[in-house]
Amino acid sequence: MEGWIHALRDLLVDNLRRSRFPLPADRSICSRWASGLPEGGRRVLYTSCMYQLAPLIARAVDVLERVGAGSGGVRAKMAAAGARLFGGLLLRPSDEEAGRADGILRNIAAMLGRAGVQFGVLRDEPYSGALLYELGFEEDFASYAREVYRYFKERGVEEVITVDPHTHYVLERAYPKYVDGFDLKVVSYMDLVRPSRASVAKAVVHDSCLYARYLDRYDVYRRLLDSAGVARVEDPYVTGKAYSGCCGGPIESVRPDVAGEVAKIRSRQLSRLSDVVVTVCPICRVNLSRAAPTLKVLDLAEVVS
Amino acid sequence: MIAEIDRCARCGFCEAVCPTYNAVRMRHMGPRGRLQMARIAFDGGAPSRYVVESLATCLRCRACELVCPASIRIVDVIVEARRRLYARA
Ligand code: SF4
Ligand code: SF4
Repeated sequence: MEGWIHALRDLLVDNLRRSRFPLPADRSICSRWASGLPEGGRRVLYTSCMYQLAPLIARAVDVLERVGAGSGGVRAKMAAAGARLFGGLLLRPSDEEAGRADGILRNIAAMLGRAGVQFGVLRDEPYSGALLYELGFEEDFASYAREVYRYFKERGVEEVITVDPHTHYVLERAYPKYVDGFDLKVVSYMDLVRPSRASVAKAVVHDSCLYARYLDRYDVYRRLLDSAGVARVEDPYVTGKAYSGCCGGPIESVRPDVAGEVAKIRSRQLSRLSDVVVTVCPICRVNLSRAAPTLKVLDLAEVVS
Repeated sequence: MIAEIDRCARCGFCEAVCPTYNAVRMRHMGPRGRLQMARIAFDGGAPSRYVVESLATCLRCRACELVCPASIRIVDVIVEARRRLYARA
């Protein structure tokens, strides 16, 4: 298992070094949604390409498992697989996945616009490095974070609006620990928008661990759903702060078998409350959808507008 | 960190909410087991397969911390132990 973890690190670091994206993918998928929006500025909407990246993580793990990177001599095998497969093969989300990601981000931008928030986008924005941090490769994360910070500063950015909990967490909590003089203001789009319409009448919320138990947003997306008129189904043992279980996403690349089982258990709990589940993180949405194809798993920005 | 681990009463409340423990029902894949695996990592001995598996599969979801009656900073302990483990490899 150690071999697998270190091979994973090599893969991420290598790709980040080459393209500021953790996996071998065509980066144009990250900014397709942003057409028509102004470039740059003091305040930017920063997606870290998380909505497009989420479905690719499982796909990358599949590829690596297929080439046998999970057994003996992992590091060498993975390097060979990386060179052979990833040398030419770029991972791509399916048209449906890419379309959903674009739609979610466009709706977030539209809601911000309606709330009177002015912002730009950075079409070549780098990935935040969250995966490195979460998998425990702190030193690699620290040097990469400094690079990302420099990128923002060179473009005169003072404030970033995040769209997902992983990017928000590393920028707000981890970057200041590793980047000297870090002074970007970090806000979540959820703190700024005022939705008034909803596409579903009733749903159960699947919390993001980071939003609920680290970033104090447990009530924020609930309030947004309320204001848009969505009836929330709650059960303290399923959706309470301590009991709203993880989707398994953070260990998807480490132990996909365990991650899958965690997602199955979680989706069973949620399905007892409603057949519509609202997620606030792209990784949760991908994981729960895969574990329970009959469940309708929608991102918050697919539900409210 | 060792002092944090020492405060564990082994009551097991944390296991009830731990997603990985509930998925596999193995002690080293739950919070109180992870604290003991972290102790081994801090001691600096050769890590067994179980130590690595235990520390690498924590979701850092923090569900355990919210129910721990001793308010142990479980995730901080696991993350620091994992950092040391990886740094040695
Ligand atoms: S709940 Fe706290 S004190 Fe009880 S076993 Fe878990 S870590 Fe130890
Ligand atoms: S933080 Fe780790 S040990 Fe605690 S409940 Fe979550 S997975 Fe289990």
